[in-house]
Amino acid sequence: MRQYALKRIALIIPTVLLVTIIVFTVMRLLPGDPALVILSEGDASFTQEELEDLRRQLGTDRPIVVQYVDWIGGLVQGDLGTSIWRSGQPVSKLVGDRIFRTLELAVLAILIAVLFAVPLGVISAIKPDSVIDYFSRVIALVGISIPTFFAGLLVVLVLSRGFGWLPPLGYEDLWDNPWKNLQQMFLPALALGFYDMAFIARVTRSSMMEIIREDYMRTARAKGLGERIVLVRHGLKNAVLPILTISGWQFGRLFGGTVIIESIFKVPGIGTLLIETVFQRDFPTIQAIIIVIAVSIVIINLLVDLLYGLLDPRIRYA
Amino acid sequence: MTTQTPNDALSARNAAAVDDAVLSDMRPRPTLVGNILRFCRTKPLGGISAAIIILTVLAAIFAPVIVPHDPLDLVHAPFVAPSAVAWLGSDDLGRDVFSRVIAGARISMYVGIMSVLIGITLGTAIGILSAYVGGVLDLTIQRIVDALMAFPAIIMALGLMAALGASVNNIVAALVVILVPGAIRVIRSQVLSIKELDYTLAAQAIGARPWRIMLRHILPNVTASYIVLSTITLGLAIVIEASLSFLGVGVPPDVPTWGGMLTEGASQYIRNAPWLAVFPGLAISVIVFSINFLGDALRDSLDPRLRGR
Repeated sequence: MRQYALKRIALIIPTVLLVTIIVFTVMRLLPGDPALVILSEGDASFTQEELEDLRRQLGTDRPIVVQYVDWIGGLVQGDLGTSIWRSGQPVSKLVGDRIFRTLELAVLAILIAVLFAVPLGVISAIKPDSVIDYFSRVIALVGISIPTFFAGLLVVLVLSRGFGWLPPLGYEDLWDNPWKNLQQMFLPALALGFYDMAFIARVTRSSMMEIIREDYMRTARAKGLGERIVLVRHGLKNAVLPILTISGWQFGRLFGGTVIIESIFKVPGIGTLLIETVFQRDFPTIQAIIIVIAVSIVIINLLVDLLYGLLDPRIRYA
Repeated sequence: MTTQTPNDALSARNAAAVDDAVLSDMRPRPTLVGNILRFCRTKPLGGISAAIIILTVLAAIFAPVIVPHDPLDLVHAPFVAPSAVAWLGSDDLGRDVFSRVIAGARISMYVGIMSVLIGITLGTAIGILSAYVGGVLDLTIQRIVDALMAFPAIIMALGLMAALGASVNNIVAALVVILVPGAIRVIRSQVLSIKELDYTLAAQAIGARPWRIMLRHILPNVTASYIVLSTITLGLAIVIEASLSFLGVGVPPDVPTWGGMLTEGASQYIRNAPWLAVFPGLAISVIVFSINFLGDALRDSLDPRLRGR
């Protein structure tokens, strides 16, 4: 296990390095230089001196390799750079203030998804072609075709028009007012988790279908175990591995989905920050947010792989 | 009664064999139309999905002729509910929602089809090269693919749009960057096994040059995957375009798009004028649903190796 873990961890170093190079290159793709872009917005009159000042302030007057090395040096020490607009606030503070809310949203979404998807998938696997099976297959097909933002609007529409229920206004953090926060986060989490619920239900169904035909299931029944124990302890326990992997991967995708869901439901998370900064062309902040998200995803994938190796000996010795 | 010599029997058998050969030559060879009909018979839902997609593409092409009103003109009173006059209602300014939904198909289809054509073609070319040449080139390309795949599609698209600026062709460019890595990975894994097959080895043995082998022997054998990949990623491309327009960083706001219509109709009017959000949302969902369904059906009938990916 230790060797497997070390090998897996060593592999992410070049990936993370390349991730930083890609983000850096993309942000340098912009036509002209950031200083010019910033100054030409608004009234667009500026002197050459102002331009050079801003270039020096942004550090874009230096050779690109120097800029990259300097930026990486900062990253390693947890310095994500300074925002252009928000009166030079450090980006790490901006991101740190908000990332918890995004994480909360993502975790809630995946919890809701798993909570609905696993029972749905299991039931439709043990009773194929039943009403529940058809229902869950339709949900699965519809779920992966509805774009996240439309799912969000539909959730609002159904709950507000159908049930007259609307989440309380004004965002409150989890530790300030847990009950109000959860009421507010429920709708966005439901909308965000819808796709994943569909996907996980599909995976659960197909992996349970395979397991049900296994010899050890028959053995468990033959030695007189109750049906529920056979299904949960012998069946579900083996089906958990693929479900776990998929959920881990989906968790990465959720970060993308939060951008949209946060902007619909006005959650002040990292996604809304990204949108704001894209409109403001606040390049240091955009760059930092993308890095934080991409590196988080690399790390989550690593954790999922390690967990998988820990749970299934066949993986780590392969 | 004549007696048969062994020779006679042999020649009779030969004649039968010749007849068989002639017959099998005369049997109709599978034509494109025949293949399509067979596909529709074995996969009826795939056929229906294909019909919906073709209709949407036609609607996109002929939108200026089909639409009852100019999608930008204020032809109705604001917030007219769906009726015989305004089939899908009118928006907050009094523009015709039906005309705007039809016009919105143009952007979705253009962006989706262009980005998939360029992205999957590029990905296939790089994937073949990477797997066939191998060595340092393969290793380098694979690490870059790993890194590119660490970005969620929307996040990557937002970053690229911030750098490139909002325009239709920049969305296509951003989507190409998003679609290429996945295509490289799928095609590469197939080429890795194709290049060990007898016919590739035979081609190498008679001294065919690498370019010839890649183009004449490997490329035809990944065509099925190419078609399936293109179909499946088309749905993704359309959703990302709609998401970008929804967030306001995609197509300029005066152009009607499905994503853009959802932004306008979305939060403010969802309670009182739900048709503003529901129809463009349905348009996206139905087309993406059809594309996913067609993709699954094509995969099952063209390329069983891709199953479960």
